[in-house]
Amino acid sequence: MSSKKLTQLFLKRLIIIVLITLTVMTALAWTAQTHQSEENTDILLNNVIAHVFSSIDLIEKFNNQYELNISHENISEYYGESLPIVKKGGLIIVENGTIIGDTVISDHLNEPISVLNITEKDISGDSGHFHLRLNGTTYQCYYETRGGITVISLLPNSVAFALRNTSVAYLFIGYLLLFAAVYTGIYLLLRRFVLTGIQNLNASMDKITNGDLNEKAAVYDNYEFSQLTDGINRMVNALKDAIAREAARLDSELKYAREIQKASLPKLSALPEDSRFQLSASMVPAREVGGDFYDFFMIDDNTLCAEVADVSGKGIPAALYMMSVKDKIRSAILGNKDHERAFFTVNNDLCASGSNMFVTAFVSVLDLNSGKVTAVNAGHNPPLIYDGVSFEYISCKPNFVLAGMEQCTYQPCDYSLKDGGLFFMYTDGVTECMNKDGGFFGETRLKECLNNAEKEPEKIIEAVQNALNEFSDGADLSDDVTMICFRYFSKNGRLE
Amino acid sequence: MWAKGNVMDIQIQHQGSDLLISLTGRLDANTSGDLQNAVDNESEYESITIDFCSLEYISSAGLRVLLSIHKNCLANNTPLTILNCNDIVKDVFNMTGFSDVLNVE
Repeated sequence: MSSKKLTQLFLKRLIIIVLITLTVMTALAWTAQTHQSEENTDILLNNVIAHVFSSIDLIEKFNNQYELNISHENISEYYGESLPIVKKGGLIIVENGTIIGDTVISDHLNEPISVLNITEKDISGDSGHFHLRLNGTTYQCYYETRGGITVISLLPNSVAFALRNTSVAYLFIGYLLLFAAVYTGIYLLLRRFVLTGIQNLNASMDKITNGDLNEKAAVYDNYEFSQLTDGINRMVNALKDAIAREAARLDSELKYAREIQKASLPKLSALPEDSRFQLSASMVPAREVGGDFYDFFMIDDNTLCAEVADVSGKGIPAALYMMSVKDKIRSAILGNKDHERAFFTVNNDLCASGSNMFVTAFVSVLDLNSGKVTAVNAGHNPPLIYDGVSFEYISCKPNFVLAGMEQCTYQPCDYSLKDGGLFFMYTDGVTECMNKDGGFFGETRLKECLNNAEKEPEKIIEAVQNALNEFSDGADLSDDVTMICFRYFSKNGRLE
Repeated sequence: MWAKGNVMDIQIQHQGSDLLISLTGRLDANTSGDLQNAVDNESEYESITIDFCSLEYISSAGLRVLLSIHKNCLANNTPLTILNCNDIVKDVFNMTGFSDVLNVE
């Protein structure tokens, strides 16, 4: 990708073109003006010579005396002020190759013309034009020969080309100003019609690239930009459509996945009618599918198992993992009377599957004859127990999470439920439910809520759910919210 | 409104043969990948110390990255130490049993 700006590239080339054009135009003007000046000089010098020859007296004087003291003064005398330019030039009069009159350098009278760097060849015709370089000055010369006498009239270049130099200098300055104006004009037009459009389009593209697909490009300054703008907008619309189609497809798949996940959770109807316990459970995923789950089942006629678990992570990966974890835990518990052993096995099994996830779980096994609860805490939030007075958090030393490290051991804790006592388990989606200010629902609020609720599993879960809804006040769920609660009735208590 | 925390600053220093990583902010699903990448990009250290003194919060995704770093360290016999946890992070470590597995000081 080039980091050079369009203006830099364009204007650099433009300035080169402008300079070349300026040089060429100046050179052409110079050549034309040189030619014109030479012609003008010839006419002028010719006139001077004609004037000299027309002054018969002067020529006769030449003839009689063979010498002439001719100077600027007496030339002016003959020519008057009508040809002031002659003052800066001069006359050389030659007979038979010898200088007989000279207003340029008068020391060479009667010397051959070669001392003035003039050759015989220069003045071999009747009349003509030649250049003369003398003492560092170049002269434009014109000569004419009549009756053996040659009159050379000359004018220094500085005079001959004075007009040319001035006019070309003015022309050059004029061109320079003109091109500067054109250059600035083109730059402004470029900026007005191209750069601003490109900048605006780029700004739109940036927004689109950053995910704002509702951004509309709006540069309609000219046909080309309109086409580009329409192209970009069409492309973005096509993208939006494609994304929407894909989202709809994913949505419908997720809906199915949600149904499947829901169906994989046990139903209350699967439990036998038993007057010794009541149970209720709920799972609200933060997204369509979640990584939380609850499970409950009868280990035998007198033993109820209830558990809650949280797979680290959310969404589809967590949901897939959750399904297999749930089955593994259930079959390990059903297969081992010894809970410590069951967890040891299931943990090693999960570790061996090599997934990068881990699971926190709380499993409670209720003996329906005695109200004794045997619980295993695999790195999970502490549940609450209701002893007929109030709910309190239980302390059960947490073991390490499941699927974290191989060879971990899981120590169970024992509790005892009184008649009508409740056991409430939940995932951190409850205590870490956030309000709009980022505050957590927390354990204190949960305990208060439980204590204020009607002491029935279903009512309790409903109360917590309502409290969470009120607390989050429309903020998105940050994590899956899962709860399970059971109540124990002793046979004796019930009969009384 | 308080942002839901996708901000974490990671500062890495080599102190002798020790790799000292200081974390500021929240180690959650949004930021845990950064920590993993930062550690993966380093080499030539004999021990790792992660300083949690400015870490406000850790989520399960953060725990997962810590566990992954811990496992790598175990495999390479590299001691891993975690320093200066605040109460929130300490609670999470205690609740999940990480405090028994990791070397938390």
